[in-house]
Amino acid sequence: MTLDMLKKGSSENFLLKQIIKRNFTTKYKDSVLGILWSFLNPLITMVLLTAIFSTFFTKSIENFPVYFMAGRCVIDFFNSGTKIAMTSIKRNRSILQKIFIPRYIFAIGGICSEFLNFLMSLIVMIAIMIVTGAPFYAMGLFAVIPIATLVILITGVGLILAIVCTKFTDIEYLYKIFTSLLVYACAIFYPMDIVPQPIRGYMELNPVYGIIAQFREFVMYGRFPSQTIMLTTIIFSIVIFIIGVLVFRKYQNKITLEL
Amino acid sequence: MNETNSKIETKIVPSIHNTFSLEAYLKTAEDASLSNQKIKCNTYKLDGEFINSHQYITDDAGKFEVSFDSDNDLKIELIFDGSEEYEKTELTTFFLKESEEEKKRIEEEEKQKELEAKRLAEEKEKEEKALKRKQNKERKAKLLEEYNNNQSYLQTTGDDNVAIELRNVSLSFKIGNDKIDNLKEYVIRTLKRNKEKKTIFKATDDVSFKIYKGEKVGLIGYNGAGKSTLLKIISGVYSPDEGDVIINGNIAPLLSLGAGFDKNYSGRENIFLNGAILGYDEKFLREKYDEILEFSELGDFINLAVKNYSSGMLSKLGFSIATIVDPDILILDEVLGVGDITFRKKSKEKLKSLMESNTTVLLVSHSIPEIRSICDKAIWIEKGKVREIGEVNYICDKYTKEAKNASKEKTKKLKPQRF
Repeated sequence: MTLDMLKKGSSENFLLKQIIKRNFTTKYKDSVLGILWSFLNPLITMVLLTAIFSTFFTKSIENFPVYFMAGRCVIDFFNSGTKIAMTSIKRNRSILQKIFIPRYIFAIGGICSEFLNFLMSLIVMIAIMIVTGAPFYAMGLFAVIPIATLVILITGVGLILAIVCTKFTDIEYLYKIFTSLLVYACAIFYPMDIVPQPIRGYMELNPVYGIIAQFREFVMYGRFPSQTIMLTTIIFSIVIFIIGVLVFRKYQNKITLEL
Repeated sequence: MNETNSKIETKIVPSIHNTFSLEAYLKTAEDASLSNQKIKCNTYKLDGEFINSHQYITDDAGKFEVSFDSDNDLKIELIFDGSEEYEKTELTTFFLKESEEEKKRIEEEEKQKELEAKRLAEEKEKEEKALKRKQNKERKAKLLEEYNNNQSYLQTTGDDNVAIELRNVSLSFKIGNDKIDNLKEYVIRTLKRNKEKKTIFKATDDVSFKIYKGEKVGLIGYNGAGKSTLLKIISGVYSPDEGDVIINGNIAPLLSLGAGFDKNYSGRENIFLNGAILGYDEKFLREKYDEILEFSELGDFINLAVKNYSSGMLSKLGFSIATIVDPDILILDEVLGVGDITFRKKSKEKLKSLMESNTTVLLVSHSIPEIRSICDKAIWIEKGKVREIGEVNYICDKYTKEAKNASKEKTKKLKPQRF
């Protein structure tokens, strides 16, 4: 699907650009600070949560603000990316009903704009790292591996959800509950060590947590995470991506009829 | 003419059967024949009862021939203004002058003549009508022949000339009265085994046709026949359940104007957004930006957010963006005239210029005159199927005829009722 897109060339890239631009402007319309919110939002939640939780976990987490930001960036990207892809077909039904454009383009465009948002929050994270005097590792550059895995996973999940959510509208609300559950399950603001075994074993199977853990290992500690975890998350993400593409391909035509 | 100088000579020529002819010559006293004179011939029974009357014109030799069909003896009166009285046999009587009776009869005759003339005029009219009908028939036959020739010409043109080809295209919608659109209901209904009853509605049913490059084709049919669905299939919005759609060339579907306008965007930004949705690339839009702006007549409004536009301004902008291309295939759902009077005229002209030359046009319209003036081929869609394809006037005639009958029948049922 992405290959198709590259082949079709400039007009579709242009459309993608326009969609990303539109997503940004609608997100920050009527706000004075505009795009600054992309920086302010993670900063404020970080300050709040640090104020609340840092005292609990000072022993096991050496730099809570960075620990929190690393987790939050990833989980935020996952949540907002899948959500925007999920509603992409429904929100743009007026266009999809009238003009032929590839149906995946709104999902991809949404994920792209959320990816840009993610990059901006990474800038915030780096700023916090500088402020708190956290060390920088060359190994941190390998963080692109979990990030790439994350993008693949989000695209897969997003494509599946886009189809399912168009068919069943209440998936949107169910998914909202699911995402807030996911935030608590991914050890964003607490160390995984506090969770007792056997539950912890199950929680570590969560691929999103896997990605967060890898990301932290690379960025915060400059270590290479366990290769089995990396491999399983990558394989899992690719499988989900393939399923997503297949599902989307199979049902995209039927979905337009039911819009 | 000298009255005393002319005479009538007669000669009876009997024949087999019951007829006999009377050969008569109109001559002057000097035996010179009088040509082109009017002779009246009255016939009577011997008891004086009038039978009938004829008129003859003498030929070059002054001759005229009267034939009778009778078993009985007859009294025959030959009247010529200016002949002598001339009596020959008991069978015939000749009078020089018209008698009083005669005058009356003549009046009557004149009346009859008038009637006759009337009848003749009527007959002539009838004949003319018949002629017209014949001509129409001939014209139709000619058209049909032309169309057939055309068809065979089209058939001989190669497949590389095909702009749009549909092969056995079918598309059906599932229609449920109680459509399940959420998971909760889906699960409950599945558990209760109380699934929705679905009716399958075939919006397009086994449609095949070819449209060649440069052809202007009109799609006609009643409401709900599946014309718009067909357009959506061709423009790619819907994919058919079965069959193939083959398109050669770039399509400009003018099905909706300003799709995807963002109301918070300025007109300028919307040109790029809408252009991108329509499939233009960035370079093209930048080149054409001024042209779009000029055509839309928006002026300084272009920098304002679209939410402040009037609906007319919106459609003007949408039209300007949609028609900036030079498409190979133009798809239209009704010819769009948008905006105020001046812009309406301008937009129609723009469309006309788009339709010229080699552009393949596919037009859905309920205005038959429009179809006739724009298209040269028509496809009649009925209940999702192609009912007939052919030369535009031929199909339109048939269609309007049937529509007339149908509406007559419908209005019959709609007799006003008093309560």
